[in-house]
Amino acid sequence: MATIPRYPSLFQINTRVWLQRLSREAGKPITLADIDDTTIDGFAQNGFDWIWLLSVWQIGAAGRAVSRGNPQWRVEFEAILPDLTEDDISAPASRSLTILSATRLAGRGRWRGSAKSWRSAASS
Amino acid sequence: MLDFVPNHTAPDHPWVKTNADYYVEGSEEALAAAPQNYLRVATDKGPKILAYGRDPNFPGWPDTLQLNYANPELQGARIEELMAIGGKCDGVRCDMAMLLLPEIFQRTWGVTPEPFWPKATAAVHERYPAFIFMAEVYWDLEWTLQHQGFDYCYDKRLYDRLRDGHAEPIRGHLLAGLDYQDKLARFLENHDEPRAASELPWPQHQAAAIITFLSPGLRFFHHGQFEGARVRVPTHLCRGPIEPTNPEVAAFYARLLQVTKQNGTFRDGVWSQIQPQPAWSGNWTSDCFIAYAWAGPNDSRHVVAVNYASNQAQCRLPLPFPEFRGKQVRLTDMMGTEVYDRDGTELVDHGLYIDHSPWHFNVFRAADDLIFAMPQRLSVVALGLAVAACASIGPAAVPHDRIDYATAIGDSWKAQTLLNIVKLRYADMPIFLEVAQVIAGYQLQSALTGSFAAGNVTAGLVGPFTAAGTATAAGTYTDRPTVIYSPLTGVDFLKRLMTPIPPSSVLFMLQSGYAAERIMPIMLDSINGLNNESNRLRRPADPKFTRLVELMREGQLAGAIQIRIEHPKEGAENSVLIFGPSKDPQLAERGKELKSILGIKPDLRELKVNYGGYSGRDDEIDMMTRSMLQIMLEFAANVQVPESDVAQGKATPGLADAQAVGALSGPPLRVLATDTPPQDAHVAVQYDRRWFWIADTDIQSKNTFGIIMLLFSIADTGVRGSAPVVTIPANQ
Repeated sequence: MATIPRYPSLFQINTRVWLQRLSREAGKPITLADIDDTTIDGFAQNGFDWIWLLSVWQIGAAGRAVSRGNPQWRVEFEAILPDLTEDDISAPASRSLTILSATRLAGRGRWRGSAKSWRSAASS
Repeated sequence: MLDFVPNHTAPDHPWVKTNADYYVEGSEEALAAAPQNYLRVATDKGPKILAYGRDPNFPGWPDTLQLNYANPELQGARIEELMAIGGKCDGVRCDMAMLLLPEIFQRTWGVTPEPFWPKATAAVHERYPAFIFMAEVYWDLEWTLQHQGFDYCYDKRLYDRLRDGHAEPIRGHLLAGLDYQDKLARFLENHDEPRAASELPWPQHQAAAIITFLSPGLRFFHHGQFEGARVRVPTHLCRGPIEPTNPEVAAFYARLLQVTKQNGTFRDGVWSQIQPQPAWSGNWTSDCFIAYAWAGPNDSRHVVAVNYASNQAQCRLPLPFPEFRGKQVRLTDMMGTEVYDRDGTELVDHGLYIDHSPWHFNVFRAADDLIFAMPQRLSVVALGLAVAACASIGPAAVPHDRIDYATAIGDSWKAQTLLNIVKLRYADMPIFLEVAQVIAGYQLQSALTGSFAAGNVTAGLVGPFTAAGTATAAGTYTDRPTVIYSPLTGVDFLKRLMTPIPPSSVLFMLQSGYAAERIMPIMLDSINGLNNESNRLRRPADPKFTRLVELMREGQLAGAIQIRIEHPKEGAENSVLIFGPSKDPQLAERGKELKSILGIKPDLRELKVNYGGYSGRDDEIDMMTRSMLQIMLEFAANVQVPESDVAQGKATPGLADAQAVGALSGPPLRVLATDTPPQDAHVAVQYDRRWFWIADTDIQSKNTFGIIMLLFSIADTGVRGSAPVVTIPANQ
């Protein structure tokens, strides 16, 4: 890992929303594994020392059911997405979603990936 | 960096079945009393009632189950998980990290666990020393968590105070020690907060961003923030609405990121807060400012000044840079276009005077290596002050000031023009700053009455550009001019730099006696289809063009060429070139030749002159004149750029030096380049660590350069009033 300065920069990405958008633009499912070096280098060029990939953990069926079934939340979701569908709520971004880390950022690291999916808390 | 949610898990986490004792267990009574806080689950040890995850203040989160940190085995299992994550990424952001603190856990659940974080962070850091722990934390527990091993804690307090919009509590917050502030994560939005673009009006948003992201600590940005997204997407959703990028927001953040990134000072330098001082006694608006000083390696100095209020405000900012004393300091706004030259002693001892409109801000680079400085002698004004407190200095000051200011402004114009010619060669954007206004301000200090300042409050900054001389034993006289620059942009830029010079201007210049062999090769691109030479296009002049210029010169000298401007009814003016009747047969012969070169009827006496390409008509002259930008590009090709810069791709290849001087028939402009400052220069500028200059002994080049300067005035198509205005206050 490259030297971290005294006052570094962090960029938080809403991973599921991001990948959904990239998938829509590409016309095919995009996962973290498909993110190319150019994108990563782009983050580094913008001066970011770390990328925080929000919500990469797989969501369990129970959490999804709660999220989809809560009527109050539903109202909020529909205000944000008038064309809301069930799949928009707490769906895993992709079956092949893997936990990867963006350690390549400073130009020296590499994507250090693990095929193992981490099952942990759904909510944050 | 990944999420770590320590407080709870999903209701279908494997532990619910296998390790139900990792969770806070409820009872039938608890469930009956608070059904919103408990859930019946099936475990390997039979049905149980477990608690939903929650904090002490709100009902449970129904998609979670609460982990029991009073169980040491659970703590061990969570540390194991952190160790596993530690091998996969560089850090974790810990959700609601304060909920695990013993006193908080006790308040929520009635049991007191062992402190978890000191153990967990120590264990992970032992194996992965660079691993980062960032805490989402509220309720003033940031300091506590920092001391339990967190590298960064959310700084919600700064965010809340920025939203409230009052500067004083923000300054108070920023008074905390750097050991604390360095470990704060500073943000304007994140997935738990509303979007900054929807929460704050744009002027305040920018000011808040400057305060947040140029303070010490971790700069914490959010996906969509740079595009000005207005809708917060909850983590439950996998899709966000499609929002158009707001170009204004995008441009601002792009520049801010550029500033924080390119500049090592903001990443590794030393930050301090500057306490704003009242600009004058009784002016409370200094209270509206937030100001920082940043000092970095290689004498890098920066000043951040923000008026965090919805009113106009003034203050003085004493700069903590004593090394500026006795020097001229240039302040260049890296987030805007403002540039100010100030006296360093004044900046340190009295402070930088600031007068800002609501929410206005600057991020100044402060440096004492001026490229084109105002001459010091401005201040050397001999005044016989008999009575210090009530002397009239106005009339006496005019003869000196007028000449001195004119010289200073003229010199800086010259330097700016040359710099832009050089920049064009290096494919750099030419920037023109106009001196829009100069306000001379005098300050008289008397041993008896103290000091009083000229009332020179204007928009922008008013400058302590001070050089003081003792006038009498009783008083000190100081000249403190305000120089207001306005950048040439937009329509002005287009009109002044990119609009071709009108043909009538060419004719006027000829009429005024400027030699045709100078004027025409500079101003014309072609005339009636005859091409002028172009350095840029490496196009030699049409021999007929060269001959035409000679003939024009002869006609000029003989007084055989005259100009008339006609104003027909339609409004557009016509220039008419008149070849006067000549009794001198030789001159008549020349006139004929001239007309034949231009392809016009030999017997015509008056010719209309138009702008544009050759129409082929035999009764008019069509001039393709050059714009100022074209003229500068032509001369840029002539700049003596070092071979190495061209080879490295820094500069575009120009004409070989020998060719530039020898073979060209056009007016020479020899711009020399040296690594050291020149001794005897007519004008010199520094660019890319080199000096570019025109020798004072090179009369040909000086002449050409003078014409370029003159053309700038002609190219002024009257968009603005005639600038600059110099205001000299008299009788204070």
